[in-house]
Amino acid sequence: MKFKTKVKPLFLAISFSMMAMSTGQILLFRETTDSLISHCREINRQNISFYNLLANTALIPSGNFDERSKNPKYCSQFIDKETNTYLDQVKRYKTNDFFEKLNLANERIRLYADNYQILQNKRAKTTKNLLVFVLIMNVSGLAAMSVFLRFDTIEE
Amino acid sequence: MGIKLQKHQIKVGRLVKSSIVFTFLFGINSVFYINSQNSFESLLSKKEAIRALNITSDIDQISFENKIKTKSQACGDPFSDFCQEYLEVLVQLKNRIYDYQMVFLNVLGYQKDSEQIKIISSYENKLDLLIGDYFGLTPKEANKKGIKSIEQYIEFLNARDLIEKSTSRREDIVSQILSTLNQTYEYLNYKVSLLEESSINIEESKFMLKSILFGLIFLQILVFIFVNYIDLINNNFDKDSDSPNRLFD
Repeated sequence: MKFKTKVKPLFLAISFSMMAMSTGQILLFRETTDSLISHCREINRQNISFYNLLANTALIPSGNFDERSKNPKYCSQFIDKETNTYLDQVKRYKTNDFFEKLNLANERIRLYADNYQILQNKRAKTTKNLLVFVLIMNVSGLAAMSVFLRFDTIEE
Repeated sequence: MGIKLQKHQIKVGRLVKSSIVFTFLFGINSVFYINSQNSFESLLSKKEAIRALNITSDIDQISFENKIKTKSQACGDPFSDFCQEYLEVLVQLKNRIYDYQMVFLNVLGYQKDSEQIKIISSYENKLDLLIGDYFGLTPKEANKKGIKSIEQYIEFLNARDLIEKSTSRREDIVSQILSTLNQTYEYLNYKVSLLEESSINIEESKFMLKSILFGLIFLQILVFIFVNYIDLINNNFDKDSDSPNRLFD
């Protein structure tokens, strides 16, 4: 297919718009993952309150609270390698003392909290960059469209 | 009109029709996506509420039971400060049961007239009446009288000498309060375990949401390509080359 000279900037404008649109879709897709990360962070916040409650109570509960406050499986996909290594080290330490167990759980929760915070900050930065990219692509598309319109006017 | 132009118009007509069909499909899919996104977020909130109830109910039960036992014993003398602390614990428990009702209503999606809300509300009312039996005035009545704090509440009771004096009657009320407390948490744990079993898996819901989103993206790209292809071929079409007059040039 042979393109006329005036169609070339139009093709360019379409390409820019396409890139802006695709980036918008990536942002929409990231939104679902962001909701899930916020949910995992909320669960960790619940664990923080729970272990604070446990640390302040004089009575030692009989239930398996380690199991109840366990992070859901779907949250593990958001844990980076470094945090996983530290978590493994904490898990390897075994004790029967209730308050030592509490300290270990606190350490685990702190690692999760730091991990989620870093991850959310990173994602927020990427989102910001993607939004700027959408803006640039839109303006570039409009510029290319104006060149096309100029050629179109000359031709008519 | 030249054959080439006619062919071009047929081609564009088909592309326009296809674009309209894909736009329509995109519209339907976007409604599905919005619904799916809302249900995914509501599922996350439900999971958070279920988990919060699950991990705190046991410790709350133990803590309230212990406080009620110790504070009720310390409230031997109706005019002592310990009675104020005892009343405070009971009002805290009543408010906690009310909070559970709110979680069931606002987060877990139960209706106000549902059996579950009625049961939890009945525990709250029962506790309200038991506090009334013990102290001579229920928190609901106190609220109607404009009493805003525990200090005002206990002052009002002492001024009118309303607190129950009979030790055996008081012990009986305490055991009824403890039984209400245990019934409340037993019911709560039972409901939470049922909800945990019945709620949809987050991974499944996320997969469904992503599938709809991929459909949405695919249709959007398709409409975009079709419309811009029409624009490109229209602008690239050389009307002069197809003019019948060209034959005589």
